[in-house]
Amino acid sequence: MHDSPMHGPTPEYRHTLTDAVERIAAAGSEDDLVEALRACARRTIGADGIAVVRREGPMVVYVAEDAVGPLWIGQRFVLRTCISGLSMLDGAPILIPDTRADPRVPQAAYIGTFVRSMAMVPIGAPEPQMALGAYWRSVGPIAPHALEKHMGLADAATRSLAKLAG
Amino acid sequence: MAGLAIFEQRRHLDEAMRRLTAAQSVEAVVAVLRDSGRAIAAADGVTVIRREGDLVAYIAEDAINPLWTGKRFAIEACISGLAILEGRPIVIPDIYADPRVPHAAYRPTFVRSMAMYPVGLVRPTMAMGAYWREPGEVDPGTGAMLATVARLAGVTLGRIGAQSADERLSG
Repeated sequence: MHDSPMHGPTPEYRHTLTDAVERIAAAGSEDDLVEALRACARRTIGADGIAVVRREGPMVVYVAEDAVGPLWIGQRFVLRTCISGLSMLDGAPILIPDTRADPRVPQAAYIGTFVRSMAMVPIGAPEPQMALGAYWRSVGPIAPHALEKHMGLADAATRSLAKLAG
Repeated sequence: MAGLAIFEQRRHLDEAMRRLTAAQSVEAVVAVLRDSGRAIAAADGVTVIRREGDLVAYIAEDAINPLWTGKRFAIEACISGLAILEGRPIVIPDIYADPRVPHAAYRPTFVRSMAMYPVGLVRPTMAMGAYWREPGEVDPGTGAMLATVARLAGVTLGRIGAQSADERLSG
């Protein structure tokens, strides 16, 4: 935990995360959950953009986004060809401080986007069914407090998915 | 002057984006890039390139002097092919100072600097080149506008099914 005045989560941030987690927990359907993440994640994480991704068999679909510029809403990609798919297959977060320097990033899909750094966290256990991406315009390591919020949202979404699956 | 020029470039970018959103065929996408690319880039020429297996074919152009329309080159042997293979833009401020450029193909042309953008989100199937007769860094605003139109052209190819499931799977 980083609680210094420079890097620490402010009380307002904590409040934002609490509100988001409550809203995610209250989702009555998978569509509700997607909408809750779309509405809350960018502000909660403090990113320039977020995307919600859903697995459909061997593909992923970018189903929602909230960002300073267009990302990939409506686009489908093969799981292993994109970062969201890789994070679902690994069941682990992927942090990319410089998208142009990372060989896992499908460069052509990022041309014309604002994205220069990103974090992707899978949602759902044991087999992730969704993922939440956060994106920034600047190159640099993912801030610990941003990642903490990001993981908090993904954990809440994982619990919500489990509850919906009954 | 610079302010007015960028306004003109943006106006052409808006028009190209409107046309791409309505495009229903590969030919229509090629036509938008050929018609608008030069004005968007404030360039002396643009080309549109299509991948054909291990070759690239220059299929359209709009330039002050002829470039390579109708010609085919080995994919590793030209800048458009490299941009398609790497899935990255390639910007070259001075073509005669860059060893990737096949200089013999450029000597008969006016080109001294260039920017090449792959088109297609997963495995690019096309590319778009912009060329200037003076050497020099490509203006970052111009580069961003070219990237924007290349991106939307790639999204459009995906929408109209020009990128087959096969091409996407092998990305």
